[in-house]
Amino acid sequence: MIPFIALLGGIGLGLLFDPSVPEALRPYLPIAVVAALDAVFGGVRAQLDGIFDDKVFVVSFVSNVLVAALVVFMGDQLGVGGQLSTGVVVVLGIRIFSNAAAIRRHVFKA
Amino acid sequence: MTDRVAPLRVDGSPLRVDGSPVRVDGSMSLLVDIMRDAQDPAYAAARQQARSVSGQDGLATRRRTVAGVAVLALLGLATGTAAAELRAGADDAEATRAELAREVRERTAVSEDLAAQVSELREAVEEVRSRRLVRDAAGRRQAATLARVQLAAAETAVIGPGVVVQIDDRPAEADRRASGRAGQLNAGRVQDRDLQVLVNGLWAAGAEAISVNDVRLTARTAIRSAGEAVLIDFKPVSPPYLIRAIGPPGQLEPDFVDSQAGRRIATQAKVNGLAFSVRAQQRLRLPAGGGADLVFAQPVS
Repeated sequence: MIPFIALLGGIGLGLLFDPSVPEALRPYLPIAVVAALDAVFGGVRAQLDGIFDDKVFVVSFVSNVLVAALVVFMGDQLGVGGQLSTGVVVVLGIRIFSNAAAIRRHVFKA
Repeated sequence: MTDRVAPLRVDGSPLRVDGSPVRVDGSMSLLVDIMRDAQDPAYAAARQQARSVSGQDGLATRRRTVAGVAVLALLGLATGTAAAELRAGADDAEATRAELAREVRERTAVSEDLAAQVSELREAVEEVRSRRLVRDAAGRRQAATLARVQLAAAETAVIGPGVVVQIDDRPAEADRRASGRAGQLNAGRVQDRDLQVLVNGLWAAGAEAISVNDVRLTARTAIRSAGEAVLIDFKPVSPPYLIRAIGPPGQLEPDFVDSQAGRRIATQAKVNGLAFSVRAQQRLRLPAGGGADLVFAQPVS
């Protein structure tokens, strides 16, 4: 529970204070947010399954965001930025939907 | 990591190490893998490990929780910042678009206003001039000359008998236009060339005043194409094109239809499928053309 509260608190602070983002990172913000969303859904599902681990959550959050941004960056360098970005978004979207479906099963059966 | 023997089902078919059955179409398991691994396997592995380790140091646990909370707050801050930035960007784009649309509407309204003022002032000038000219004989002569010249220069609205020529794109093009899709420049569309030939043919057949879609043609009016649109006197007009011409009654229509221009356009229309018709009309009213700018003036002698 506490880790989620900490996360939500941080998000609230970020939305409230709106610190400026360096120009170089701007193109990767959308994919980073989607990857973060995927990690959060995975964490919520793990919590409902009873196997939540905060270290795993932090690692999966950070690695998701980094890998997604890295893939898009690589795609930009190769000139296929748009297509790779679409692929990453598709995969993350499928995962989000899978986890959301599992969460829904927990919520409505329990 | 302990070594594990590949498990088997009771009937001897193979299972994977994690207990899931080996599928015959295993090479096409991308989507299945994505959906199955949506739950990070690290959670299950960590739970396995935690079970095998009994009891943990209380201080280590507390330190770990504090560190975890701090890190997660930081990550949340980063995510919130990113989200705030993206929302602001989307808002900016929308605001810019709305601002531009508002400006376009404003300027169009101002331009229409000015145009109305211009015609009002023109009428006022005309009235003052005719009142002044009527006072003496010289003035009246000038007024008569002025009226003749204005008629020839298409500066006044005119009424008279004449013909109405209608020409439109091929029906397929007309449908495409109606549904809002972009058309292509091909022979099925009426272009500036065709309108020029028509208008010149009407002048040659004896027309005294011509208007295209209610834009009066003067000596300085250009008929041009810009992309897909036809511009008459720099005003865009859209098909169907109605060309009204006032001329000698009973003569203008047959003279035009038999003329080289009339025959040429009729053939072209038949070949390309354009809708083309010519009919005489007893009474036509054509609007005045744009007034000429006054450049040189001289007192009446």
